[in-house]
Amino acid sequence: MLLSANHITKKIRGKTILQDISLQLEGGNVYGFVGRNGSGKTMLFRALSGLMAVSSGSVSIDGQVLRKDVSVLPSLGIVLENVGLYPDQTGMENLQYLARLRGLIGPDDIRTALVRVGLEPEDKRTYRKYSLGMKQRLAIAQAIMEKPDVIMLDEPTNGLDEDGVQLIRQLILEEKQRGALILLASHNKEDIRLLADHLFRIESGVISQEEVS
Amino acid sequence: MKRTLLLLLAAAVLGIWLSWVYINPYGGQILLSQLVLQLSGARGEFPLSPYLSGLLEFTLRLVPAFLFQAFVGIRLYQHYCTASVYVFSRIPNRIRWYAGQTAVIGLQALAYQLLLMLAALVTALLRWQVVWDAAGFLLFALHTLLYTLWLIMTAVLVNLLAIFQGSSAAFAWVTGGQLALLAPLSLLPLLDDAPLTQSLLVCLNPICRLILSWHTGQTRLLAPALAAPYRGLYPIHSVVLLLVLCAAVLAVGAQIIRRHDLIVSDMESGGK
Repeated sequence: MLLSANHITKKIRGKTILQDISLQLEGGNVYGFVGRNGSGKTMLFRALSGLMAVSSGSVSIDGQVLRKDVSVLPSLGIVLENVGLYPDQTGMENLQYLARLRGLIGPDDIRTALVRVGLEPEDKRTYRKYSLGMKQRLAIAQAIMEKPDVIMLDEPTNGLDEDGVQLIRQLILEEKQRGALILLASHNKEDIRLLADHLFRIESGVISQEEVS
Repeated sequence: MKRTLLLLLAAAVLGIWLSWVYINPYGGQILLSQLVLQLSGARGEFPLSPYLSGLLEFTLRLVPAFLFQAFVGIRLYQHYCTASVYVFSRIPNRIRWYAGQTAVIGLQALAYQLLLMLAALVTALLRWQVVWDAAGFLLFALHTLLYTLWLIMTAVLVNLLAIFQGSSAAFAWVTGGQLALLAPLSLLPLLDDAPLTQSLLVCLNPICRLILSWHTGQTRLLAPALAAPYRGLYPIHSVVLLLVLCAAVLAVGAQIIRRHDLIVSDMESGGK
């Protein structure tokens, strides 16, 4: 599986958010993305996933051009900062609702995903009553539950305690071994050092490749 | 499912209300065709008057439509609020998804309008002697069709505007738009000496297509029931016009849904 960005640029109201970015990303690898807040990491994920159109250039997955042949990556799991789930539903109900959109998995797969991130499938608390760490775990569970080909994780260890951080790191490695292409944006240098096979730095929408230290 | 049941319950209650308030025949007997005309704006045996009192009464008859727009106006939009990224990352073909969602809106609109009319009819049957006439059945179907198209068009419009403006503003825009279409009708009495201009204004205003008593029946069956005060407002033209408007809104919507960037994560709070 090959995800390609070909000279993509994104401008919003005249401001350049992403500038002439080209990438070739292959399955079975973890690609780390670092950069300051507002540097363009999340926007890059939105562009690479197809959730946001690019102003010029193109994004393709195995030859299929996003926003032309398909609206978004056909097999994608994504976690973005500040994206919540339905507050009046339990974790299980939230994931069941999302799973129904694709219809690929059943309740057992959802339970497995919840257990993998350290959540209790039978927990009757609604999302509203979840702690920050539980919300983050649930977001990660929805991203991995359908065993997607591409997983984009924007600050996945935010709000997690030390056990949670270890659990999610282990989970990312397992997904990589499964063959998934993983894009990981993190301010946590340890996450990047332990997990990333390749590293990119984004500053003001411009990308450069760095050595993983 | 719970929302749909609630919507259908509202349709039944509003149907009873419309019948109770507007179907009160002298002598206790009413033709089915007259009953339908009264639900679409006529007062007794007279067509809807374009005076303020008549227009206000017609606005009240639109309350069920406003309620439907409020209920169904978030069907598409709700997916742009919480969890939008997680929802749309699972929808590789947005057009197919949009087609499915709008088909559901269409079915809801039809069920809502049909139930509303049936509830009004049953209430009238319990209170008065309803005389069945062939034109009445045709008008019943026509009224249901015109209002269903109107409901679909306006509800989809609320959803589409909400993507840009938020749900409350979108509902206010669409409701305000409908009231804005009604307001100039109060000028019609001033044009009594210019019937052609008067008829033209009526024909150009799409909300007039909902007022069956302003139409002219072209068939032998409908001609006696629809003796319109205006020229050029024919039932078939109204059906075609509302179909075209509805199709236009759906087509524009398809483009919006296909192209819309998911940049703001929570539309209601504006969180990025």
